[in-house]
Amino acid sequence: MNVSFRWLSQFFDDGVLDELEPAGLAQRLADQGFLVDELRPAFDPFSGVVLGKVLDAKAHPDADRLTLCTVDAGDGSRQVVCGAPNVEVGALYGYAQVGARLPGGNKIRRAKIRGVESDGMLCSAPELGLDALGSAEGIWAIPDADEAHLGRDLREALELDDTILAIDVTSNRGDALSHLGIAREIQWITGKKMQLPRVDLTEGGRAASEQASVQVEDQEGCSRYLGRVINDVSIGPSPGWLQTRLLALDQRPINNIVDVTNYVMLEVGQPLHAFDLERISNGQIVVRRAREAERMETLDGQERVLTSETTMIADAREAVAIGGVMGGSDSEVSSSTTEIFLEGAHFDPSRVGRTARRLGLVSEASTRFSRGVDPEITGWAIDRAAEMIAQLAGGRVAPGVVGVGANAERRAADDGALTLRDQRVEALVGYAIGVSEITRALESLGFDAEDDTDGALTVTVPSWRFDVSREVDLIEEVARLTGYSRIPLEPLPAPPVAPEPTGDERRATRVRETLRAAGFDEAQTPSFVDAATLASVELLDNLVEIKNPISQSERFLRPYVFATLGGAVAYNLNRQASCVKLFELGHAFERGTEPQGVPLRERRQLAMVAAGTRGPLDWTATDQAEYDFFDLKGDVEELLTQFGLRECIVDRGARRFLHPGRQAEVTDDAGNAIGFCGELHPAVTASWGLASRVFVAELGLDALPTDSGTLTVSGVPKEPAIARDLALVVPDGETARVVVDAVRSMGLEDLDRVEVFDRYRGVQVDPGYYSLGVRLTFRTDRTLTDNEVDEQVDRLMGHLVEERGYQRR
Amino acid sequence: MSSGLSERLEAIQREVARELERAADLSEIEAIRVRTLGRKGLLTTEAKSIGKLAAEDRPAAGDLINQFKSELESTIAERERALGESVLARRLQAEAEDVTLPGRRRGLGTRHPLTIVTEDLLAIFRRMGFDVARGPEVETTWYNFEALNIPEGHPAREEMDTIYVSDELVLRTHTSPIQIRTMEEQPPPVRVVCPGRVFRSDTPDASHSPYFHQIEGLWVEEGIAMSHLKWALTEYAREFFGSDVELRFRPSYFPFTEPSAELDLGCLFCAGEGCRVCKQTGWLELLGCGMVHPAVLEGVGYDSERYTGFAWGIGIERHAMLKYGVPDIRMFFENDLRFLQQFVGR
Repeated sequence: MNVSFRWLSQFFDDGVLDELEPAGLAQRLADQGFLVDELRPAFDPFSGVVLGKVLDAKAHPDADRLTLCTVDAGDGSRQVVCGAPNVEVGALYGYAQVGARLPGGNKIRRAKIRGVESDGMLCSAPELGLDALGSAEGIWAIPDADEAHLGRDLREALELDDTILAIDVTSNRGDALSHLGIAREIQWITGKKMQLPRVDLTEGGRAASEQASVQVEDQEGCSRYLGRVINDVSIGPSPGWLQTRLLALDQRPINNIVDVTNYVMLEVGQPLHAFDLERISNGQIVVRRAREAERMETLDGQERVLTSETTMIADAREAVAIGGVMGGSDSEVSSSTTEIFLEGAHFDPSRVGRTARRLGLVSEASTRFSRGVDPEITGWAIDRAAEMIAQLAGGRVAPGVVGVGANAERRAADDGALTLRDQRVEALVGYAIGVSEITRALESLGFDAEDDTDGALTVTVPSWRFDVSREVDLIEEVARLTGYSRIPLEPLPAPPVAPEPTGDERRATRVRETLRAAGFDEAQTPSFVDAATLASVELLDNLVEIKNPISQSERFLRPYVFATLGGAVAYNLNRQASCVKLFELGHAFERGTEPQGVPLRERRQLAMVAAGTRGPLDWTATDQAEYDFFDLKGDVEELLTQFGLRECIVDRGARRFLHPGRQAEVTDDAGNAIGFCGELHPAVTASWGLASRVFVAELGLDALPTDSGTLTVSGVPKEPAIARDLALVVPDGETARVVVDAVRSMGLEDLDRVEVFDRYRGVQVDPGYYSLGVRLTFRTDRTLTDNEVDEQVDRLMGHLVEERGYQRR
Repeated sequence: MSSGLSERLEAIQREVARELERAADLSEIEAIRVRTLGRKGLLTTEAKSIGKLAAEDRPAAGDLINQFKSELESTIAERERALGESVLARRLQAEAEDVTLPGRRRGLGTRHPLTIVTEDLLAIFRRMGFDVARGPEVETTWYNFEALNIPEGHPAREEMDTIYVSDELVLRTHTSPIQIRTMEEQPPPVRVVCPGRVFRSDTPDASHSPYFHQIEGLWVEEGIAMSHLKWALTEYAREFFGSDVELRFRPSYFPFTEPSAELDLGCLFCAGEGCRVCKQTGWLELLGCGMVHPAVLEGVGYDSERYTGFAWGIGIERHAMLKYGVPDIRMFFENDLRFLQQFVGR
């Protein structure tokens, strides 16, 4: 909400606000809950421009397009050469005297133009920084300027010296969306009462009720509907001061009728609408719900499709306005309008809000109605507007008000007064505020506070404060006016048990530390993923779709975290990163499948994605090794080992987005699947536009234990071990795991460890076979002899040859 | 004593000294030792010849030979040690590395800056006595709105720019639903902070992202007032931003707190003078907070006359941007390694 300092000042006696100055006022308003985002001059600075009247205009002797004007600026006449095509004798203009400075810094000098002396310049609206008020093609005749003020500084005549405060009004304070509302808040700051302008309405002619009628069918949507009729108006531009005041508050001046309705709205917060009465069939206003899919053209020229939620203003034949949102183009005030029907109504806040948002027509009026307008200001507002229209458009206000709800019932909550206990104020705020200060604060805002005998106040809430409905709301009013800065600091009581990191926190920390040490950077990627990415990884089942996505393509919640983390890897590869290793802890989503269960399943996941080289550039290596499947498997294994999970990466999986021969499933120690690791399918990386191989792993975080359990150490062996390396020739397709298990399953009495140290395929091994190097470590509680070990190895080999068809190389 | 023994022994000694002088490695020294002191060595031969001497001369000759033998042994050993030292010295010299060449590194990863800030903040609040709780990112409208005193049609609900999954499910717009879940699960007192990702239907720009992170906090107990809120948030702000920061509690509005406040931080970039970052105001909006609205307490079955509490919500991205001077919120989600790697060791 933008407010004018000058306008606010007019609610108080002269000089009351001047003491504060805009900056001081902004500070105090912020302390009170009305943050001022910005203070700015209403208009660009200029000086030396006065009100001047063109007494005479004749052609320049040497130039067709120039006019020689005789200008009266209150102290004799001067000659001004003017290049504009629209000089009007008798009109009043902004006359920039010699020495004037225009916005942007241009200084006006005495000049000879085509041989004729020019004593200053007549200004166009844009030359004065008032672009919206006139074109740059011609000079700006100031509407309705007072001839008695010739020679007066234009900034004073048009009230341009003003400061605009951009106030951040919180959404509960619809009552503060006007100068009146802000002025009420200022009463506490100044300690002075504010005053609404006096309205002296002169009525005459045919009664309003003879010219118009109002019937409200949709009482739920419209609790009050008042109308006034103004006859014989002449439509024209508003006077300069009104145009500049609206312009300073970002309202584009339209004509003297619409400008008045906007002015009164900005003044007291009541949106008003003016109809051309002759376009209202029979002068008959019917307020009703819209029919489903009813159509109407609004005054911005667009056809709108409505629902029964919308409150319509109709005449005897058809809809003429969308209540509280926008008028129709048919009944709009035009330059030929002479009879005005002025509407002041109170529409249902939530229905106006929903209609406006649905139609994309959030306007000054709909914003105010949806946040709540004081139902008791409506009558004052139409009287004020009718009076101004009569003054500015030369009309006559018809006697009487037509309408429904002139004595609208007040909200139920306002009926009963609220009780406010001063001890409760102290309990909530943390220090004692005296009853007299509480009373003074509330009364400055228009509340009525009566001191009870039993230490409590009985408080009546004013009609405009719909946000106040219980004691705590009053406490907030007291606390914010007396000032949050006065509240002392009180240390919190210490809890009986000092909090420790939870299991979840400890687990996440352990994951992060392990992966950091392995060279992985932590990433945070979007939760949304697009259909193309999901199609590329063939993850299209059970997707969760967003109803109102930010972008139409990214309308799914990620089913796996790697789906979005992959994007971060691609981002870095596309920026010449040679080694990209990222991980992310995040949530992934899928549609639930149980018929009565949750409609959606949300999983906490760990994803790892790596591509490029194994690590930083290594000058000791002849080739810079590329990260490969076994790097990934090793990184995942080390992570799992941190959680006590060993040998939990099992046989190849069958995930379609992974390389069919380079993927494995990850389990917990009970053998339940918890994730996977593998190389991304080349078709996927190609569709992501990447040339590198990309490796991914993803695990359910909840499957990792949060605690490592207890440990009892076993003794360290004292006897030396004996190792034997076996190169076993085994058939292709026999996995290392099977071979190692076969060795172990023999149950050799002194065998301590079995490790793979080599794998060989090539000319030294028959086709269809490969060689697997296995190191056997023997150890027992006494010193073994070579013979004892050799005997066990022979027994093992005999078994492997006989039972499994392996050979020793 | 036989004439000439002493001369012969001195000759041997001179010869050995010459040979040792010439010896280039340990094997040559070993050869000299064998030649002189070995079983068939020169000194052994001399010793054997003692038997030919007169009995009265033998002891003197034996002593002389033993004296020469021990001198020779130590001369050879000395030479051996010296040569060994110089061999080692040559090897060490040959093995010298250019230590300015880079070490072989695996590369060190980093926590994400949002994690760093979250963990720093959680540590601060844990020290004050808050526990940590988490919850789902997809929430029911009831937990996200109704339970927080934001009924349907409430302007705050419409302004929240909510992302919907269905009519009943939303991507949570704040982590406050966790506070409700926590209160439902336990009687007061409740002291909990709730970190997590939240969502708004905002078009991304330098200061907006449709997903971002919050920590919300809640403390409900008998006798809690705004003065406790001010203390807790003053402590946290000073710990996180430094003990000399300027703070301002300013009235505001949230449906779930009453009274409500915003906490402003004196601009870190211009010391309150007014600059582009603080839009010339000298203040940066830091967080929203307030006393828990009695309707929220009543909604979870707490006695709002007896129990009071305060709550607050802070934006992690904003804190990280202020603390590390990150100019654009989107940098947190691009995950450019050149950005992330700046946080190594933090």
